[in-house]
Amino acid sequence: MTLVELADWLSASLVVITIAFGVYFAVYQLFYVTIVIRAIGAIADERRWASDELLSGTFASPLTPGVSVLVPAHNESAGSVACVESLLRLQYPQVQIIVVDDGSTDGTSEVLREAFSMTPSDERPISPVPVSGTIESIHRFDHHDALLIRKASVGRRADAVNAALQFARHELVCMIDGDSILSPTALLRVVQPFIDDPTVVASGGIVRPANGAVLIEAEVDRVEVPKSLIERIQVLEYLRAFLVGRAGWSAIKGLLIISGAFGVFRRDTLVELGGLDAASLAEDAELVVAAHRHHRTEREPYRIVFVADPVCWTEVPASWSAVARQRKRWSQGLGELLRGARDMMLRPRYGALGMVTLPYFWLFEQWGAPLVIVAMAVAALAGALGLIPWFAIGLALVISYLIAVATSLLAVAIELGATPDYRTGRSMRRLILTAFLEPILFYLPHAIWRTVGLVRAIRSTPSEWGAQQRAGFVQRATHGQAA
Amino acid sequence: MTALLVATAAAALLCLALLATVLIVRARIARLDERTRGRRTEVSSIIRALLVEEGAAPPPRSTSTLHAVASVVTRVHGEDREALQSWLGTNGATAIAEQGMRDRRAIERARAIRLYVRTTIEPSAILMMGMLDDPDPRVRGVAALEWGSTGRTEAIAPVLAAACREEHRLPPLVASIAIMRCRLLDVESLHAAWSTRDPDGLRVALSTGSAAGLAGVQPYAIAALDDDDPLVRIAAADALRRVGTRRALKPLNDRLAREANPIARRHLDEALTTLGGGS
Repeated sequence: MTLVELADWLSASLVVITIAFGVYFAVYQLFYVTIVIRAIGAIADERRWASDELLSGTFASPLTPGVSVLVPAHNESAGSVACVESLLRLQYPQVQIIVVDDGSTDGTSEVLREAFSMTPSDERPISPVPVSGTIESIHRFDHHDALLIRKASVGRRADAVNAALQFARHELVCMIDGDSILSPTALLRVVQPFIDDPTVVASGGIVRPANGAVLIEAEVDRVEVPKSLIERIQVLEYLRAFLVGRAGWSAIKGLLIISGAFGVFRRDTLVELGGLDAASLAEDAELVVAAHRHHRTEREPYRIVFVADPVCWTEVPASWSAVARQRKRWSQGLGELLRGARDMMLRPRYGALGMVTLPYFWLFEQWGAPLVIVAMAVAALAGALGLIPWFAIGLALVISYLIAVATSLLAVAIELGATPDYRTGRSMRRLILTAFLEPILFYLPHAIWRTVGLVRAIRSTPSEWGAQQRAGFVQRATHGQAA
Repeated sequence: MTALLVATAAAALLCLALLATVLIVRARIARLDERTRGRRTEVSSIIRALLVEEGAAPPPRSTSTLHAVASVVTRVHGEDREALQSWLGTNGATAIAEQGMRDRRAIERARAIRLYVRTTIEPSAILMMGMLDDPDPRVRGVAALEWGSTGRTEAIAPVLAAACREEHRLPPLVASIAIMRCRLLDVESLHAAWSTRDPDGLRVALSTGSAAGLAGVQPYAIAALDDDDPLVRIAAADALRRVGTRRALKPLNDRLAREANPIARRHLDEALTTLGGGS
C-alpha cells in the first residue's frame, strides 16, 4: 500500500467513522424519544387516576402490610435527624425504622441519640443475611418502633443495608438514604402495587434533589431550584432520569434500576437473594437485576414497577468535585453491573430487560461517554485534515447541542404538567436557563468522569462509600423562626 | 451539507417548539387554577344556598360543577345529603351519569359512576354489578369504592365475588377498602370467598371479617391456616389474633410447627401470644 493509498484509506475511514457516530447518536435519540413517549403516557395515566380516597382507604385497610424502613447512614450527622423525623411522621399504619450508622466518624449516632430518647438493646437478628462489618451496638428508640445499629464499616453501603435487613420484621422493606426525606404519603403510594398484586416484588418512587428545600417539622414545605449551577444541573438530571426515564422503562417492563434512595422490596425476596451484593457499587441496580434473573430462571410471574408519584427528597452534592467523585462511582458501578449481567443480554428469556434495557445501557449509558470523547477527537481530526468541512462539524455540534437542550426542555414540560414542585417563575427560569447551559458546561466533564469510572470498572478498581459534604436541610419552625 | 442545514433548522425548531410548550403548559396550568378557583366559588355559593340558607340554588354552569357538588355529598349526611342529591337530580346529574357509564373512555365511565352513586339515594344493584364487571380494572375499582362508600350491606357480596372470579377481577386492596366501608354484619356476606377458596378473596374476607369483629370468621380462618398461599396463612393468623378463641390455639400451634415461611411464623406467633398460648 502506497502512502497516498494509505492516506485515502484513512480519510475514507475517518469519514465512515464520523457518519457511524452520527448514526449512533441518532439511534440513541430515537430510543430516548420512544422512552419519553411511553413515560408521558404512563405519567398522564397515573395522574388522571390518582385518588386520595384510595390512599385513605389503604391506610385503613387490614390488608396493608407493615414496612421496615432501612436507613444506611455514613457520616450523615447533618441530615439524619431530619430523615428520622420525616420517617416518624409517615402516614402509614405499621412502620419499623432501622437506622444503621456504618462506622461514621462525624458523630451520626451521637447526634441521633441526642435527638431521640433510646436505650441499649440486645435485639437478635430475624433473618440470616451475610454482613461483613461487626455490629458494635444496638439502641432501641424509647417511644417509637425504631432501632439504631452502630456497625464497623467495610466501606460498602450494601453491607449497612444488609445489617438493617437482618432486623427487619415486616413483609416489605423500604430502603432510603440517611440524608433523605420522605413525603408523608410516599410510603402509602409506593406500597399500593404490592397489595393489589402479589407478583409485585419491587416498587420504586421518584427521588428529587432537596438542596435549598425548606422543611417545616420534617416535611418539605417549599422547594425551589437551587441557585448554584451544579445543583441546578442535577435537578434537571433527576427530572430526566426519574420522572421521564424510569417511568418509561417501567412502562415497557424493562426497569433496571430502583434507586437505593427510595425503593420498596418484598423482604422474603431480598432474604432469598442473600440481601444486597456487598461487592457491588451499584447495589440497587444489582438487586433489581438479581430479582429479574431469579424470577425468570424460576419461571415465576413477577413485576417490578415504578410509581411516578411518591417523592423522596435527597441532598445532592453541592460541589463539582463531589459530583465528579459520585459520577465516577456510578459509572464504575454500572460497568460492574453490566459485566455481571452480560449473560442476560439479548436473551429473549429475560424479556424486555434482556432484549432492550441491558443492550441500551451497555451501548449508550456505558459506552456513550467514551464514544462522545472519541467522536469529538475524530471530528476534530477530520476537520484538521480537511476531510470534513469545519462548518459541517460545527453544524453537527449545534444539532447535538439543540437536541440535548430539547431533551431537557421536554423533561421540564413534563415536570411542569405533572407536579407542582417547580412551578414558580424563578424555578422555571432557572430550569430553562440550565437546560441551555448544561450541554456546554457539564456534558464534556461528565463524559470524562464516566469514562474514568468505566476504566475503573474494567480494571476492577476497589471503591468505597462516597465521602460527601452535607449541608443538611433548612429547618423552619412552625412559628416562622429559622432553626 | 444541505441535510445538515435542514437537520440544524429542525433541531432549532424543535427547541423553540419545546420552549413554547413549557410556556404554554405553564399558562394553561395558571388558567386551570383560575378556573378551579371560579368553580370553587360557584360550588360554595350553591352549597351555601342549599345547606345554610336552605333555599333554591342556581343551576350549574357546567357538568364539572355537578361533579364538584357530588364530591361534597360523601362528606355530609342526613338532610344535607338529601338536599344536595335532590339538587343534583333536578339538574340532570342522574341522566348524565347513566349516559357517562356507557362512554368509550374509561376515565369518563369512572367519573360517571362517582356522579351516579353520589346523586342517587339507592344505587341500582344491577347497574353497579355491571360496572364491577367493566373491562377496565380502574373503573371496577371506582365502582367498588363508590358502592362501598354508600355503606350498604348489599354491596359486600358482589364486591367480594368480583375479587374472587377468574376474569375482570377486582384488586384485593380495593375490595377490602370497599367492604370495610359497608356494614359487615355476618360472615355469610363473605360467602363468595369461603365457597371459591380463591386466595385473594380469602385474604379480603378474613381480614375484613375479623376487622369487623365477626366471631364467625374463626372456623374459616382455622381452615385457611392450611392454605398453600403464605399470604392467606398470614391473613388467617391475623384474623385469629383479632377474633380467635382458645379453640384456635391447637390449629395455630400445629401450623407453627410446620410453617416454613418466616413472616407467616411471626404472624402465627403473634396470634398465639395474643390468645394466651404463646411461648
